[in-house]
Amino acid sequence: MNAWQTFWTGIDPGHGAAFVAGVIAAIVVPLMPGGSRYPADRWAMTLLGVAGAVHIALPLNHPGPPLLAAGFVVSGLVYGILAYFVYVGRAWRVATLVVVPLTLIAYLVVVIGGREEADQIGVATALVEITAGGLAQRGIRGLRVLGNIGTALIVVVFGAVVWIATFVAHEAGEASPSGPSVSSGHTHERLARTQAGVIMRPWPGAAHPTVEQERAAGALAASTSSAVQRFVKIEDALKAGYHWPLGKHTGPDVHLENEAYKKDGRVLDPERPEMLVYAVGSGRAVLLGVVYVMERAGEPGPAPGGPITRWHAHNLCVSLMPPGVGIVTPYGGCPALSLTGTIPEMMHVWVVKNPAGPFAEGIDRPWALAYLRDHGRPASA
Amino acid sequence: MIGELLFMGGNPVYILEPLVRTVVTAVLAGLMHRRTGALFGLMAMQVVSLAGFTISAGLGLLPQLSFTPTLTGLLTGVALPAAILVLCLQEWNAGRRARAAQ
Repeated sequence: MNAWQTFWTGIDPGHGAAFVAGVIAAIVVPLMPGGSRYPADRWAMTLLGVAGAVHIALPLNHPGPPLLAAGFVVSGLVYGILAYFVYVGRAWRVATLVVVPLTLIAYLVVVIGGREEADQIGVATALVEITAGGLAQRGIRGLRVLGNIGTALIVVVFGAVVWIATFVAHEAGEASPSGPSVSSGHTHERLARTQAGVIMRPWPGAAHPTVEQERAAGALAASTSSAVQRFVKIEDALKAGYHWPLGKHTGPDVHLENEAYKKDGRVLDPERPEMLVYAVGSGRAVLLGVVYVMERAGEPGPAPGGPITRWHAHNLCVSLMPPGVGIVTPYGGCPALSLTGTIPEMMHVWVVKNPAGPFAEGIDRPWALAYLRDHGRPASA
Repeated sequence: MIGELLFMGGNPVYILEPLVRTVVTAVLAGLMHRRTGALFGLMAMQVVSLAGFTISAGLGLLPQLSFTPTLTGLLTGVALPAAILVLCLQEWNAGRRARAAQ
């Protein structure tokens, strides 16, 4: 995926019109002649105008019930009126401080309820609205300090709720046997559009696998399971060139990497998986699965099992002070003095009976620890 | 800041740098109308942010990494520091004109 494709992946196709309307408003509104000469007011007018344009344009190609569409239009009109009030110098601050939290709460209710997938348009519009709210409270006597703290808290809480709700919905989709397929929500591809820590390519094909794809996925799981039996003892994996991750030698999902296999030009080779995953603790270890990793970042991995065998990548923050690695926030940011990058695509294949399936992106920690307790072999780690 | 700390695995070591940045930004923003040095400090911080974004984009050219541009990332990593930089430059110009008129 190139950068342009990645950018569009974050935007729900149903929000395309809203994106265009928001960009046009961001260009046109600040150029309007007249109005307040104070920069803060002009910024507020622009931000409210952008929020209004996005909300009004949302129903244009957004599937949903008429009530939701009506809600978008009404909230868009309110934001438009507030932008107009800023323009003509009428009172707008208190109303903005009421409307912004109400809009954010409504959005969170829809996202948490699973009726809407958080995407870049949703989060960016929320940022625009929060900023407008922050500017609104600046002009109200006695509210400055409290308002600043409130604005910061809203940023944190909103981002955290969106991120957690997205992950929960994604995990539920993976674990649900009634879902269209493992890791494929198709129209509601949770995680694909928030792009916060996990990058998933949208699956362009059918949501349900064909018989051939199911067979191929089963064959891949079986051949992987068979091939890595030689690494059941963690010492054998270490002898074969796998090495411990930095600083982490125990836990329910310890990933051992093989640098030679990561650059051998082989893709999805059960004989040479780039990573092995073990549960390790209390002097015992048990092999749980493997991770296949593409050699180059941005290259899509092959999916013989169609929607069953999905690959994902991680966009990470690499901090220089102090050295460390984290994940990108829902606002697309990293801590200061850190750089961001997306590592090559990867796919897990579990060789134990992971309750979420053999191709799930993760494994339940308590389940892995219980499996270690029951099946772990003595290890010298 | 707190959000970024959470996303760095909750490691308290990462509280220090964002805390310093937040306090310095608040202090510089409060002083920028009175002291040119504060204005320049604020501008320098935005330049560092923009440089970080540019370096991250450049790192995406390496085979092991790709760059993921997102709408929110562009807003917080480019638009916001660029807007603050422009506002600071306007403030600086206004100050220069005021001093020249005296």
